[in-house]
Amino acid sequence: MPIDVKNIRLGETGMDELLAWLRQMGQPQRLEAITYEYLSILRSLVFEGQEQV
Amino acid sequence: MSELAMSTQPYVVPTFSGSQEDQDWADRVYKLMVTYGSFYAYEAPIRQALSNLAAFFAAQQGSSAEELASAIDRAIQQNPEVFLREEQEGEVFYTTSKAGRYIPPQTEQTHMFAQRLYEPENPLPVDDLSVVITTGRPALTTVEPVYISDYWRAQAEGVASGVLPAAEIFDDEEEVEQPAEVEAPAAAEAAAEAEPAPQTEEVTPEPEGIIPAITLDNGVQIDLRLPVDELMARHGEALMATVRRAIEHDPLRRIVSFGNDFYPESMVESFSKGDYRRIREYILEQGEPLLDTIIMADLFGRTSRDRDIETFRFALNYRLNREKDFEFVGVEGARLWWAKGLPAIGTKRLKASELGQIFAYLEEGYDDSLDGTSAESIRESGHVSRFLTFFEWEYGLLAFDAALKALLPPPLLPDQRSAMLRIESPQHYTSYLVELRYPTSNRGGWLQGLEDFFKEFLVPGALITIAATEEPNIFTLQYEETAGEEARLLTLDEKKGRFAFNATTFYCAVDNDLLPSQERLSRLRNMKLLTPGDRRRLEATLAHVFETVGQKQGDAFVISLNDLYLATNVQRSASRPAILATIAEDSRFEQQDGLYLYRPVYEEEQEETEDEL
Repeated sequence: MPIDVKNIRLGETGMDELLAWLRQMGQPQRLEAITYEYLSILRSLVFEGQEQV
Repeated sequence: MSELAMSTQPYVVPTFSGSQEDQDWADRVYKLMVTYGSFYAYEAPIRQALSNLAAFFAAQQGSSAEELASAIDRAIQQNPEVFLREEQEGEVFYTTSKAGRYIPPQTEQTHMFAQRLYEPENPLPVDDLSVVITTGRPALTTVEPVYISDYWRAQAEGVASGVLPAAEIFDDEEEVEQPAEVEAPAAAEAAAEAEPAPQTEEVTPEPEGIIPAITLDNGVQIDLRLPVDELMARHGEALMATVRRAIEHDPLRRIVSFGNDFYPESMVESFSKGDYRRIREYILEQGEPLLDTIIMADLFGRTSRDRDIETFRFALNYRLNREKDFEFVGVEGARLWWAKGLPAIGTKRLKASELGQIFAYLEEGYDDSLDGTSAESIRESGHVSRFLTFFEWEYGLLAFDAALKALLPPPLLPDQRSAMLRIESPQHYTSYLVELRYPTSNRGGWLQGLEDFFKEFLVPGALITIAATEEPNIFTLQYEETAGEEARLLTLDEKKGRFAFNATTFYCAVDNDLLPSQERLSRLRNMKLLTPGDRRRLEATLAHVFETVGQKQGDAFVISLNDLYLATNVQRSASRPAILATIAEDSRFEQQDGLYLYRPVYEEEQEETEDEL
């Protein structure tokens, strides 16, 4: 179920997913990689099920 | 008073109904059952099967159990108030109790504690976040989330992170917000044929007039429909700053950072007090700050061959940074740790607070080190050249100006105070540990620890070149060697607080305008060493320079800018723009025909002026 973009709170929304990704990586990640992944997570939360394939 | 209390038996003896034979059988069965349940509670049910009862009595009487069963059952059915009769799967059961009747158990559920807890009589409204409670303990009890009024949240949603009309989306480049469809059709088709766009670059349709955008810390709103690669390319710095701030403001601190590395807090290894003690003792034993890789290898046996080396390294740096006995003095790529007890580096003749104020002009906009060059060219070339002033030479300092900022590494941590660098001299095969003090909001920065090198090989006015090496914390310092040259150069007798000229032979290329020689400006020795308080105030330093080095003309003292710069930089560090700005702000100074005048206002005159006013 996609979330409304107005409900996104940076640092709250998608943090669980980011944490899970970081755990999966198994070692510290650079800020750039973290930012990239966080943006991807936010996009997937907003556009879940709406992506045009 | 109860029937039990009046009786000598530990159970009630009921009155049975039916024929005499039925009453006898009922009495015998009842006594048998209460005897069987003699240790039962008073009202606890005592249960027995008809077959068991018949078999028991048949054994006693030596008769048929079947015949007795029918007699027993008939007698029991005559006394339903004493016995509860049940049939289960063809078997007849009787239940009674020592109270003379069967009392079914009752469960009182009208005021259960759990029910009262979760369904309070007067529940608070749940639409208010502040009254929502949790039965679990928070992960960190010391960090409490700050409750923000719903009013402000609603305001913020409308302005910052919410849905705005497309026309209100702001960006630094207009084409950023243009959908992909508006590109020139021919170019778009050509691009599509050349390289099919990945799926993530598809633009997801949104309701007309609404753009899904989030707002960064710098106020820029970014369109989430754009691919991540494009967003990173356009707003990478702002995005990273926003994400860093968001993670650091997470009240649960689930992700922690050291520099630009991030990792879940729960997966960061801990160290014991003994570990910290060993690390500190080892640093003190070595006598200088140590790299984290050296600490890991020498104390923990961890090398780059270990699989978890990066995780361990992060844990070591993150944990040490939280210990008060350690201070991070490294840079990106060379993480050095200082331990409490290590000797200080650099001059002890001037306090750090005094130096910070002396170099404050660098942060106040009077830094002219990039005149004639640029930060980009310094970064590209990897070196910077400059002339030493007397003040820098005397105390082994270098002003951390814009030119050096372009060359030397920035602080890795936001609250980092200093970094330890190593300056090597390829000409003399020596190296020096120097401390780079980073500027703060109103204090300037500087390097210290070069006193020995300067005094041994250089003189004031020497041209030096500092160059980067492959190591981020190691730099080289070189100068142009010349044939020996003799001159009477200014020296400081700090005990007497006076300056003097001494014959000196030096072997380095110098700028004669900046060489404080007797030949160049003999009046320099008229100066006295100002107190730290006067040196911190540039106008006080300038006044003293005018009065001692300038030429008296009437009631004023006159001096050229070059001489003023040279003499001022004997007392303290100051750039030409800083000197000129101070002169422009103070009415006692003025400029005439390329020279600068100073008219001292003596205390008597000042008092008279005040009286007149």
